[in-house]
Amino acid sequence: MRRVHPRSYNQRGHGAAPGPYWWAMVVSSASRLYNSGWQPATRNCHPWTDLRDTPRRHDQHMIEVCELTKQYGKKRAVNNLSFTVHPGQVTGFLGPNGAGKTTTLRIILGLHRATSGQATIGGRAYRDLPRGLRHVGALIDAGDVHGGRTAEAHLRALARSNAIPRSRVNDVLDIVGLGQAAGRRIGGYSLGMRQRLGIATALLGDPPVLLFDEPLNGLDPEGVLWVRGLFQRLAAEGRTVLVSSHLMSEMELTATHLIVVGRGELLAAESVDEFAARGAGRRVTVRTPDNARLTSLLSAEGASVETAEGASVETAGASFTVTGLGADRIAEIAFAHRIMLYELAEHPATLEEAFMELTSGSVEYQAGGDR
Amino acid sequence: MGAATVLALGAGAIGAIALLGEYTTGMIRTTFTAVPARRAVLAAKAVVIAGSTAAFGAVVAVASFGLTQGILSGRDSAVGFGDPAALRLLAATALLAPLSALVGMGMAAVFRNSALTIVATITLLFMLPSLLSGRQHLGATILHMMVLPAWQRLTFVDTEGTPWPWTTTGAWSVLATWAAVATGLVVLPWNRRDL
Ligand SMILES: Nc1ncnc2c1ncn2[C@@H]1O[C@H](COP(=O)(O)OP(=O)(O)OP(=O)(O)O)[C@@H](O)[C@H]1O
Ligand SMILES: [Mg+2]
Repeated sequence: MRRVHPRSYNQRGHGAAPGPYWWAMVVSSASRLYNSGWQPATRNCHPWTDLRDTPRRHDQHMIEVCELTKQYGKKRAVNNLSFTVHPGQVTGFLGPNGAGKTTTLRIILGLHRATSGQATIGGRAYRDLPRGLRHVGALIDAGDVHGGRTAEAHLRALARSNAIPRSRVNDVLDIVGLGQAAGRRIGGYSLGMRQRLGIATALLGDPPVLLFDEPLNGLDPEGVLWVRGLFQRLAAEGRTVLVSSHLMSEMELTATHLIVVGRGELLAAESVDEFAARGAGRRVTVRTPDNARLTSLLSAEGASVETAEGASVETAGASFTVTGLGADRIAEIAFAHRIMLYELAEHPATLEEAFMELTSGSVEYQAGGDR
Repeated sequence: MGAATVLALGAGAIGAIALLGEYTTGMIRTTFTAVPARRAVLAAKAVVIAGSTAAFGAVVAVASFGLTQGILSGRDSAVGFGDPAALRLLAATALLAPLSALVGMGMAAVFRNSALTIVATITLLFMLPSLLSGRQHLGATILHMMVLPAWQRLTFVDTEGTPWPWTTTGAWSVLATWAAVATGLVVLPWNRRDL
């Protein structure tokens, strides 16, 4: 007698011809597996990401980029790039011009195909979603609009395609401050107005995941402040917010996490605080009547000493800058050798400096000369 | 014949512009971001364009048929709307518009560039058939694979002793093949390309 297995339909197949629907079962269980977000290749992709740290409900709104490579002809725009973007925080996506930020965002959105590797949102390729706006809102290029339409008509068409109620169109136009201009042709919009319309498009489906490529371009100071607040509010509501920029100064006021790329490769993926603490570049200003002795003592400790332009280190009383040693260590050395200090001030490295230093090797398109 | 050419080229342009307007402005990226299922978007566009140009084609067909019969009725050579040949003429003329529109759309989907699309559409619909001669067997064979000659075969009752006659069924199947291939070009392979 045969025991009845959970998989007994397989065994029946040995004797009788398989049922007519065996393939339908295979397809439906495969698609169930697929839709459950199970993706074998992403499993070992993110050594710094411990999935157990992240509450389960968050996983479906996580952006995962896994060993992503994109080749345009001979140009490798993205090279074996892996990172994760978590919900509930604003993540800055930084890198010099041509680093591959826009390319990565386009692949995440399924607009471009990866040469190898994959990018998923909640474990699924974005392209496999039938409708997108309720899952992911994106502003990639504010110019990707039909100039002949009005903002209202543009948004209405998009809303209709995603079964979003019509009333939402005027809501988002009001949110971005385009309520007055809603009936005007997009062709007549300024750069900043188009950028606002792009943000309105991203917000249209009230999505849990938002991607913005250089959203601050063309915005006035009031607009910049508003957008920063908006991103922080969206993140505080538990959404995943990824914002690209090539300006660190923009990001340090907006983002709490950073992903830094250069020449298509990952340079850093960490919190802003960790990034700021990248020790190198911490400077201490020192002023003492006994320059010669202190500078030689400090140099012996491995610090490097710089003076203000023109001045010699030997000039007594001129202040100089020390890198590579903390203020407390400098004070200890001075105290041990009975050297008087007039001034001792530590300057934390700015994020901008840390960013410049990190990406200095990866700047491809550098302006030439001093002119 | 001249009116049919204008109808075909006009509808071809409408079909081409329907897609080119999205590709050349970049709107297509916004559209596909909103609806990642590209095939569904393109199929919907094809249906809308084919439907509206079919309605337009039907109006043109009925109007020109009525007009012609109005003139001919004075000379006792009029045919009624119920005549099989007349029905065939009406159907073929009405279908010429959506078919040409699909050809224009197909070219737009392949080239994504205004100039190339217009040149390709005009070449396929108009230039090739008018350059070829139907007297040799080869020329006639190619000619019989083109849209406007097939339409002509279906609408001109008397084939006036052409050297290479062909059946109306053959002409219908030529039109059907064009429609299928053009729709395929819009919907199938090109929707995987980068935007
Ligand atoms: N469609 C394309 N065809 C060919 N090369 C491309 C294409 N898109 C991007 N590239 C190349 O890939 C590289 C990365 O470009 P990308 O636009 O992703 O950079 P980015 O990080 O967004 O730069 P930026 O800060 O200037 O916006 C560049 O060298 C660019 O020339
Ligand atoms: Mg870019």
